[in-house]
Amino acid sequence: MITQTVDLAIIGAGPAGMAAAISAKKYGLENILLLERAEYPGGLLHQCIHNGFGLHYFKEDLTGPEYAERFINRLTSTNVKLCLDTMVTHLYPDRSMIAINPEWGEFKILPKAIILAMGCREKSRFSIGIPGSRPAGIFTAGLAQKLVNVDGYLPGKEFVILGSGDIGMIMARRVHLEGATVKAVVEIMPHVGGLIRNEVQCLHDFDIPLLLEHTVTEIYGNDRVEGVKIARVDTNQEIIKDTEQGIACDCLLLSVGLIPENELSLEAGIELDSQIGGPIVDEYLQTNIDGIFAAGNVLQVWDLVDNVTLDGERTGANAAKYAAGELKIQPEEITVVPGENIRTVTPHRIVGAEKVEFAVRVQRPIEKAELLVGDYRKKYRVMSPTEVVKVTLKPSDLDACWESGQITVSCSERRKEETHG
Amino acid sequence: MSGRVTETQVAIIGGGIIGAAVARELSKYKVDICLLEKENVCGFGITKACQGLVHGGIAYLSSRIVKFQGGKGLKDYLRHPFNLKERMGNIGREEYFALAPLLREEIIQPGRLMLAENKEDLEMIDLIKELADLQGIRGITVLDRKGLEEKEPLVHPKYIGGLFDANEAVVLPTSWAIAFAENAEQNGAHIIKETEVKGIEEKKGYYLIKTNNGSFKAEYVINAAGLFADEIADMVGTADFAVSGWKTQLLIFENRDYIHHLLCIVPHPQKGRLLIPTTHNSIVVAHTFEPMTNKEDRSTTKDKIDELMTWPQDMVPAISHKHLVSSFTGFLTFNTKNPSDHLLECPKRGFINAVVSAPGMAPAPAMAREIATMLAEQGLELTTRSDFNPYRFKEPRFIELPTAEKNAKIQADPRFGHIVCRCEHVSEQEIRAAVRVGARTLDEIKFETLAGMGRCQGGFCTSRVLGIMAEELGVSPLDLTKKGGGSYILESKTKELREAI
Ligand SMILES: Cc1cc2nc3c(=O)[nH]c(=O)nc-3n(C[C@H](O)[C@H](O)[C@H](O)COP(=O)(O)OP(=O)(O)OC[C@H]3O[C@@H](n4cnc5c(N)ncnc54)[C@H](O)[C@@H]3O)c2cc1C
Ligand SMILES: Cc1cc2nc3c(=O)[nH]c(=O)nc-3n(C[C@H](O)[C@H](O)[C@H](O)COP(=O)(O)OP(=O)(O)OC[C@H]3O[C@@H](n4cnc5c(N)ncnc54)[C@H](O)[C@@H]3O)c2cc1C
Repeated sequence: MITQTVDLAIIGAGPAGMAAAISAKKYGLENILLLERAEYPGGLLHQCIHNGFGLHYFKEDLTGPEYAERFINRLTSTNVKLCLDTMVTHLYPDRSMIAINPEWGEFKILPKAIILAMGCREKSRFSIGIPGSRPAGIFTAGLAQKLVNVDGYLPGKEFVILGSGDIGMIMARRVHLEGATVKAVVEIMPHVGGLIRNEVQCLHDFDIPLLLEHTVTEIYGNDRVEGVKIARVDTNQEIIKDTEQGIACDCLLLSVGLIPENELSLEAGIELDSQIGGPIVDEYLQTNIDGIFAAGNVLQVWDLVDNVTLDGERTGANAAKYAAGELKIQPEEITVVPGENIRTVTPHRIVGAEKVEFAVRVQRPIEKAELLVGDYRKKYRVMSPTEVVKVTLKPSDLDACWESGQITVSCSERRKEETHG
Repeated sequence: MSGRVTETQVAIIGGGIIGAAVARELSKYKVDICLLEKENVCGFGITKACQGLVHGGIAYLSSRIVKFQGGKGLKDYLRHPFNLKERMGNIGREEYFALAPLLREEIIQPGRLMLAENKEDLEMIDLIKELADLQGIRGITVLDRKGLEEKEPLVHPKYIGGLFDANEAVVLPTSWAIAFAENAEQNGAHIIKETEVKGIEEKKGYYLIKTNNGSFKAEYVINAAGLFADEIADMVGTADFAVSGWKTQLLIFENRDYIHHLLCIVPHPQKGRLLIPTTHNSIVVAHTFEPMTNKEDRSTTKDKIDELMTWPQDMVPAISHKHLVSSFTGFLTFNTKNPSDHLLECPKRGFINAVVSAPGMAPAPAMAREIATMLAEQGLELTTRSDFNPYRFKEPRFIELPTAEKNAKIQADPRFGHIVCRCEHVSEQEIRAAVRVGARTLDEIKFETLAGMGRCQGGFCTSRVLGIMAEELGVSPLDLTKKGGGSYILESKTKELREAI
């Protein structure tokens, strides 16, 4: 068996992995292996032929493949070894890895540091438990996106889309433009799951019906989907009796959420955040295993690729520091506690004495919001669970927390007298 | 319908676990065998939804308790000697263990852990232990809370004790049905799929079986049509029974080290729930009961799923709802003539009804032997074949080979090094091989290779598998189906629909 001994191994060459490789190189690492199971680098970006990528990072409006191309070009101008068609099959607590590809067969990798950049996967019909028969014609929205945009096939003529995540809304527009009919986009929450921008540009602009506070309760059809039953739900997401109605369709797309892809992490003994599904990390994005970092959607599902790229760059730099023995770790640590109205927050622990960037997702939409991180306060016109907000604290903002060993993050409506201030 | 007539000595109707096991048993002898199965895979009938327990130990006692209608006399009822079903089950179990290495199938023996919540439960456990001793069943231990925790650290704190039965074993039934059929075929039996029996005419000295795929002239007929065995029996006028039963719904979760043994609550009349660790790292939550009203209705329903969702956490609170993988239904059947036992009878010369009542998977190898004996009694000459090969030829899964063998394969054909299914690690070349041995649909690929069976349920590999299948078969992906018939997957090429408008 071939053994590759390297400074850094990166699993996944999506935007996170590519940015990590480029930045690790820039910070001085020499011997880098970038492992990707697909035949090309770029990850999910390839199938996202719509625009809206890079607005923050490049201040330009690019399509997914264009965005990917910029990084692929940068990457190929370095000597990072990009291994395509390469599936990492095992990751062990001692940081050794096993992978398989057509060229080297099954081989072993012994890296000094590792960056996890495996992205995420979509929840399936069964993982949300929709009852009914098991016909053909049920797809996750991302699979449908690949079939349409990469393979060139339309999976149906009359669609119902369950869930209004970004992929679901983008696919509604996509199949509509292909001449198919979108009978409805059905969303259980009182608001869309994805970005408001996509609600307007993908649904309203094309008069695609959006049914909020509704869900699919049953699927019909033996060989192929023939229709679905939908119903209205109450504030507890319980189905309201007598509101059920049938919709004829031949295809059901599911855009019901993404889960960070962490099978390898689990095998290695990396602790995961049960809410987010990604690894528990410190502010260097390092996991509980020394020298293993996580970036992009494997850590948490980002709405914007620019944040994924930034994650990648940070981990690349930190992995380089780690390999050089320069990553500063304090003897004590601060635990980050999600408080009132907070659904998720990263990092989970603070271990160094540098500035800390927090990424926060709230539980429910809050207008005139005030975000509290320890004693640090910041005001927002509105905070929404569909978008992650980032705040950066200086080392001095954290001084008071080292004693208690914890810092609480919370968010609430500003009180009346303050709202005018 | 073609006018072709095939002659055979024995026709087996139905390639479920029973029909397939019979085919393999008979292939040991110099006999012409045709197995007629209406689906395109064996084991896609009742067997497909089977939770896969190969009972041993106390299982039959506890299912007696669950079935008990209430009232007095439970103890006496439990003391009854084992019936045909229970006896066959126990013999069949031994055979599964003996056959596993021959058929290259898996059987695991996680054992069964029965959880007691209160004093009443503990009393029931003592009773079961007493009866197990009486029946001579070994491997049974009574546990206190500490003993429970040693076996299953995550078990709910409300359980104060329990009973451990080391005998319980688990298989993947459809995979076994396929294995029986393949080994039979390798020994000369004809396994004829996509062939539905539509009618049977009784002639002088033979039966003429009409199907959508020509007719079959057979001296002996074995009716192993499972759910539809009553309809087949009716074709020769021997249907003095119906196949009836319950519709059951089940869930599958990922098993993230949650459980290592089969868990059940202490059985009470009309009440039983199971968490079953499977051979491939999942947990089956079994199962709800409702009357079976339509044999074609395989749909799941919200109320039952909601009910099932509460069970795992009631036994092991750590099991996260996020790790739900799938839900499905199955039919737990019995024959109305003798509801608590199997129906094995020869109502007409050369015609055998082999209709099992649940649990009917575990006894399959034992039933197959019994059926061979019955055929011999009916005059079929059973001469052993000297060239019978008990070993099923099967390529092991690529990912399970040792590194050196993997690498030899990749060197010979680099497509082994191209992993297509990320969850089960299936290589491109295995998909191609499956197509070459006859897989035509996505579901067949799934059963043959496991591609699409894992946690993402095909979200990642479907598009790749379609591409490989189309290339291998020389067809367009538009021609491919999920499970035959009208279950097409893709509608049109992009742009076609738009241009048509
Ligand atoms: C449909 C859709 C629409 C989007 N639209 C927008 C948008 O309009 N604007 C925007 O800014 N962002 C958008 N995004 C978000 C952005 O594209 C993603 O967040 C980004 O691609 C995630 O990058 P990543 O590198 O973390 O993961 P991915 O892009 O998923 O890359 C992960 C890579 O890891 C590889 N991998 C995984 N496991 C292994 C293994 N074991 N061995 C080897 N390789 C492995 C995978 O093959 C993959 O290439 C969209 C996302 C989706 C899904
Ligand atoms: C939820 C559940 C859990 C169970 N758990 C267990 C367990 O733990 N242990 C156990 O031992 N048993 C269990 N059972 C019972 C067991 O699955 C069945 O008893 C057994 O699989 C029945 O096998 P069979 O071959 O008789 O029927 P089937 O598998 O239904 O086989 C009959 C075959 O005949 C074919 N067929 C039907 N009509 C025709 C026709 N006209 N022409 C041609 N072919 C035809 C069908 O397609 C089918 O393949 C369980 C069952 C269920 C539903």
